[in-house]
Amino acid sequence: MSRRAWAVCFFIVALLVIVGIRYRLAKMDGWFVDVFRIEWARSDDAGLGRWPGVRFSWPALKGLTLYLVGADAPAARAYWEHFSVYGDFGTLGGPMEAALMRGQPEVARGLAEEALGKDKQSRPGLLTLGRLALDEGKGDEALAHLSRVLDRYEDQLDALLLSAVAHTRAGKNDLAIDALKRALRDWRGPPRASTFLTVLETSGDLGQRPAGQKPLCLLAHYHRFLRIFDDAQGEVAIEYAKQAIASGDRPDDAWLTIGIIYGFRGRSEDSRDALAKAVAANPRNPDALVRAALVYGDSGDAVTERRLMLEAADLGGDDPYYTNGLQRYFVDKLGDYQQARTYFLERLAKNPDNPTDLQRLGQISNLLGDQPQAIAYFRRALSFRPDRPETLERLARALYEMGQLDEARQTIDKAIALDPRRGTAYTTLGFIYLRQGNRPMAIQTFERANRVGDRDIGAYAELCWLYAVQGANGRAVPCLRWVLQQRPGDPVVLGRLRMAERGLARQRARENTR
Amino acid sequence: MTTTQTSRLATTGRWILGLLRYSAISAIGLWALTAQLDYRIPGPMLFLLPWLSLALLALSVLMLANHFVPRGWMPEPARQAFDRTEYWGSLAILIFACWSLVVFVNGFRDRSLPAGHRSEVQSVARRALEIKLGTLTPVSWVTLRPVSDPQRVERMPLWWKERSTVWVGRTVVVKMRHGALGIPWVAGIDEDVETHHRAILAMSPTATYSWRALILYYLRERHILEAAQLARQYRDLAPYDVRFFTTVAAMLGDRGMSAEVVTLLEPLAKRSDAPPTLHVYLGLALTYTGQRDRGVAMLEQALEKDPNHLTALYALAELHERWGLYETSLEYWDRLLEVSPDLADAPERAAKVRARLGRTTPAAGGGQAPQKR
Repeated sequence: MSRRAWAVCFFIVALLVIVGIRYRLAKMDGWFVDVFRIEWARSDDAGLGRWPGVRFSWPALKGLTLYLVGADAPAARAYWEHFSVYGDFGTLGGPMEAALMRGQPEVARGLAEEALGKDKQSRPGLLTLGRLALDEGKGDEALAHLSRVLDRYEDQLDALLLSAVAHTRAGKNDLAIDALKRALRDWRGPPRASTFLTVLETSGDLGQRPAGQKPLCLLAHYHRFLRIFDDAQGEVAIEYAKQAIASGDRPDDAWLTIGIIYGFRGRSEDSRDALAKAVAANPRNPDALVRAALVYGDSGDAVTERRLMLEAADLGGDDPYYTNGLQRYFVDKLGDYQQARTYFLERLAKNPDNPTDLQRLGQISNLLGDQPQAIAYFRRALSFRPDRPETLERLARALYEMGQLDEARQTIDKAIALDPRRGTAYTTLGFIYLRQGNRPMAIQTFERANRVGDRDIGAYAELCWLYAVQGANGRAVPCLRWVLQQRPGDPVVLGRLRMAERGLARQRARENTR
Repeated sequence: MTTTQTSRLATTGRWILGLLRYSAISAIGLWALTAQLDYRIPGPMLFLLPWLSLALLALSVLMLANHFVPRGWMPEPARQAFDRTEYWGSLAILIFACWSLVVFVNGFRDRSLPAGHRSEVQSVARRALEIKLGTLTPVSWVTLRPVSDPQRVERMPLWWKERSTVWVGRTVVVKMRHGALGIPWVAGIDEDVETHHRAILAMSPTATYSWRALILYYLRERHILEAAQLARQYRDLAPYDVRFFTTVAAMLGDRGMSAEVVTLLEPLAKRSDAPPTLHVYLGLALTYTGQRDRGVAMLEQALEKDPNHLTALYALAELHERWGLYETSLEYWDRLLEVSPDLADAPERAAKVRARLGRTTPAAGGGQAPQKR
């Protein structure tokens, strides 16, 4: 071949490699590709940062390269090195985490003890101590710290992931899988950087074991976790899960892993088949039942969905994850408040002082239009847990519906004092102001609810209409148009939009004649 | 100009012309594929056409790539074979593009309304071209058996967004359009809302979302009488869902079904949790069915619940204006303007009524609450 032909071949191969790497990186989370990211320089050392600073580090490039060739554990160690050198880019969460990432365990311990001195249940403090105990090989001590986190913060992601690592290091693979399943069942990520790298390193170490000694189902779960950050890990997880099934290592959970990953890949029917096999392998696996119920529901098989949901809730016992799932099914999916009431009344009969069930029944009564009953349930729930802003907010809503505006106002103020970032509480307050005829305050409160993240379309529609009522038609028209896009054909919104448009046209005509 | 320079110029010209030609063929292949996917023609074999189009597109891209390969790189027999493939490939693409043009004109110029046909999903070719990298190709097809003619089988390409709707054994609604050239084509494959929610109601008769979904579906499909009948049944089952009934009443009112609005809302108006808007819609429906006094009383009831209810004030002002009761109308307009001085066209409407009464300025202190009549 001529030199020109070689050059063309080289060009094509290089192009394919670049496109391949680019495609692979595009499917990965920023964690791994941090080295290639260009971002605005921080104001700490570069004034107001008008120019982009290229963040690049050799350890991170090494980490990325090792990761791409499948060496997870050395990659994690390289990333540790990267963070210990370049840990001041704002990617680290809090001073304790930063100290951990920079390799300053004593500083981290000091900060954690200080935080625990102020609050015995401090989440970052307990997590940091757990993490340090894990590094020192004191698995039991680490688990004790982490279980304290889980007592206060249900299903806290970092605590569950680090618990899984502690169990793995102690050789308790079943407990590790259970912790990972809990961490993954209701994703509340992302975890802290140090936790992620610990998991990556642990799964990499497990993967390096000789063929017969690999805990296959556990590896499948670790890679199911890593898939969240890198889609290609899904294939690895599926591969380990298939091997686990073949070797009889918790086949129900292995099928569950396969089913979930197929679901994320858009292979809905394969996902349904895999989940059906998970249920067949162990009909008493509540996670498999819940996941299968969801997929059967999507496929239009409402009868199977319902049966599986009820079975999962019964098998789940007092674990609120399963009862929450059933509540969501009855209330949010079917809107079947009467059946929900019947089911949760039966549960309450077994444990009459359960504040969670009392709150649920209050919410269901509220939806059924039975406000006095709802208020009674919420008050009973609050007598057991007076510091729950969610219950206070629901009580305020019921009082508002009953027209008891002063008490509703006092209750919602308490809820906001407990959690000032609760958007839905501001929405309730906005409606109370509106009923009291205080439109300017209602507007302010609805706007605040929107700013802090409440996306209730009904409240937003009310806000748009208030703009029109106050004569701000220029704001009302686009606002109502947006609401109409979300609720196509809603006659009330349409009527209001027409009025606002007429008002705007009149205002413009008046301005033109001036 | 020397002979060498002329020859180089000619070579460059040929190269540019070749580049343009193969780029155009690739673009035509791509467009043909898009047309086939956008305006899908169902049939036992026609579903293969987008696949053929995809193959031809791949061939045209190969031809484009081959254009860049230097002459001496490939052995001459291989080169000649490739050239022949190029020739026949280009011809096939052009023939296929002509058919795609017909499909495009048939769909693009079509002004007919879609008609829904229920079909059962027999199979879905989901994994036909799955790439190991973790994604699916955009081209896949579905095999359907029409409910009205179970002997017939239809195949058609599947859009990406339709994949979550299509499950084997499930009924779907295939929206067919007549086609400008008389070739029926598929405008979309939708979930069979009616069958799905009826099945849920058979299992859970108190599932409010399915009642709501069915009522709204019938209203959307203009099956107004079914919608009204279902809404009455649902009202008896779940009278607490007053806000939903208010929305349904507004939709029925928009379609001129005032008598149905009265039947639906009247039993609900007595509820303490009925919003004032419900009284407004009921009041308007009563007046439209000739019950003027009861209508006005109902609108007044809305104002008792919320004295500043702008829609009630607007409706009362407008109705009285229409009935020639300008004095009362003006009172309501003034009262409305006192609450919201710049609302829609209220200032003009009020000014017009005032002019009819021979007044030029609004009454001092705004309007007084009109007496109940």
